[in-house]
Amino acid sequence: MKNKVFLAPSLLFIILIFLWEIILIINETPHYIIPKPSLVFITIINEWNSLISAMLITLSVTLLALLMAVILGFAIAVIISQFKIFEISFMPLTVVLQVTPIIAIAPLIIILIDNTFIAALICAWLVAFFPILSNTLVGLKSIDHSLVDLFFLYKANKFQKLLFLQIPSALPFFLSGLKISAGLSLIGAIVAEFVTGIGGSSSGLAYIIIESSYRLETAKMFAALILIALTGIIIYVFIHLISKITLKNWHESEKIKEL
Amino acid sequence: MITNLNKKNKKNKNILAELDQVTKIFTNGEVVLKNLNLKIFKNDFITLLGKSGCGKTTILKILCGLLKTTEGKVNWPTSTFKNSEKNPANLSVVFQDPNLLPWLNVFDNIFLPLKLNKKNRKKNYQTVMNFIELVGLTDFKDYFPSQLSGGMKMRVAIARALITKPKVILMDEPFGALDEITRFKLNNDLLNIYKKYKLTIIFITHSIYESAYLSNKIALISDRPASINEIIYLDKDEEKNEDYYLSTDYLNKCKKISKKFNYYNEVANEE
Repeated sequence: MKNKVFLAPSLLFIILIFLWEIILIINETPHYIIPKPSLVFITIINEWNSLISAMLITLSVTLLALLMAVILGFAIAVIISQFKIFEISFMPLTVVLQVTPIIAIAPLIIILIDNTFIAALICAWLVAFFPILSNTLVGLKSIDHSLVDLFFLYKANKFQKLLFLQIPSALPFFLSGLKISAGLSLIGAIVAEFVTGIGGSSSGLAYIIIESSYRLETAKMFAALILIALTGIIIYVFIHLISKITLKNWHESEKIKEL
Repeated sequence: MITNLNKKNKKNKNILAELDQVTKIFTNGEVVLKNLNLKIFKNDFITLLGKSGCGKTTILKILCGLLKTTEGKVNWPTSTFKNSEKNPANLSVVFQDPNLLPWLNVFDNIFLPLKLNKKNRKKNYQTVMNFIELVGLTDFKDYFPSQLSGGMKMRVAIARALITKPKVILMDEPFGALDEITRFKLNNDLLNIYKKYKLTIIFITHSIYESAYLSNKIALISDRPASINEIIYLDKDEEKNEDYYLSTDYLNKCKKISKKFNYYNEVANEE
């Protein structure tokens, strides 16, 4: 059973790559239109140094933005949950930020902020922030009513209720927000790199895609694309691991099923 | 006259709680309790017996301060308790559901009331362990609620209610969801705890058998709006065990209660 889980998708993946290679060889498609998987692989090895440094830059923008989104999203959710007036005042503003596409805001941010790294950071943070804020807020507010009664009977004060009841209750909600935000912050970082389009020492994977497209180095575009996907997968696995470890003992979503 | 007054005073001294002409009307206009009077005395094991939905839980919530009365008063005499605004007395409540915190293990769930009282975890380790032992969960102290059976969860809830060493425990159909074997065992455990700690227990149930087995007083509650139809006094000193559970004495007692319960129902229906 466990073998099947890994074997089936791996086999499908290998078949697809193989078909891709074969079809291109039969059709004699030129490599600048679609490169063969083998060529992409060779490009990754040849261009390893420039690719990995670009990947590290994209990864650091993504993770820093995510960290900022976690800290600010969580803190603001806690404050808002304690005072109704804050919720009424803040929520429309965050909704405006959320519904405006980041690609449309990015040029403005880049005009306002000289440092491209910080500009990219802000773009990525803007999209990652909202899911954490709104999910945590829902979690903080949807506490089991009978547990609230219990805390009332034991004369818990507001701070104890927040710390021992609301925050633990909100944890699964926060983590599902985090899963969404992790993907979004990568998208935000890539969008920012596309819009700035500046090369040099602080260029990430998206810039490599733009640069290679100008030079018709399609294989390198694919190589960068694969590394972007890989970055996304690394973050996804990492977040899921955190979720699994923190929730495995008590929450239905991560409980190990006995067969 | 004077002796009478003294007698009355002496009796009043033993009153732990008193519901005085309590009426509760919910915001949707439904009258749940009407002019309900109830006195609870020290060391009572009193059962509130009534049909589902008759307002038993409302009585309990008013007693412990979770609900306010619309009219009438709840008195917790200061002579027996330290009075405070929120928790009118040193009491614990065991709800219909165990209401455990799913992210805490058995130990920390039982420790919770002490934690909220700003007690040190290390210093109180032994106290908590003693109560875990009392409910027979020593081997399960590191288990999480999702890993426990329904009966075990209820044991945790009972241990948590006892850890503050309350004088009164209010129980709202605590064993309603359990199978009969577990229920019988927990009934006996509860009786032992009741004797050991000289508790006063206010117990809600809709089971005539359970009320007859456990309590020394049964308050028959009418349908909505709830009021007390009659208080039945039972023999306090009977040895409660499996033999008693199967005896004709016990069966006759149940029959008697059942008859009274049905009588009040019929009267109410005729009206």
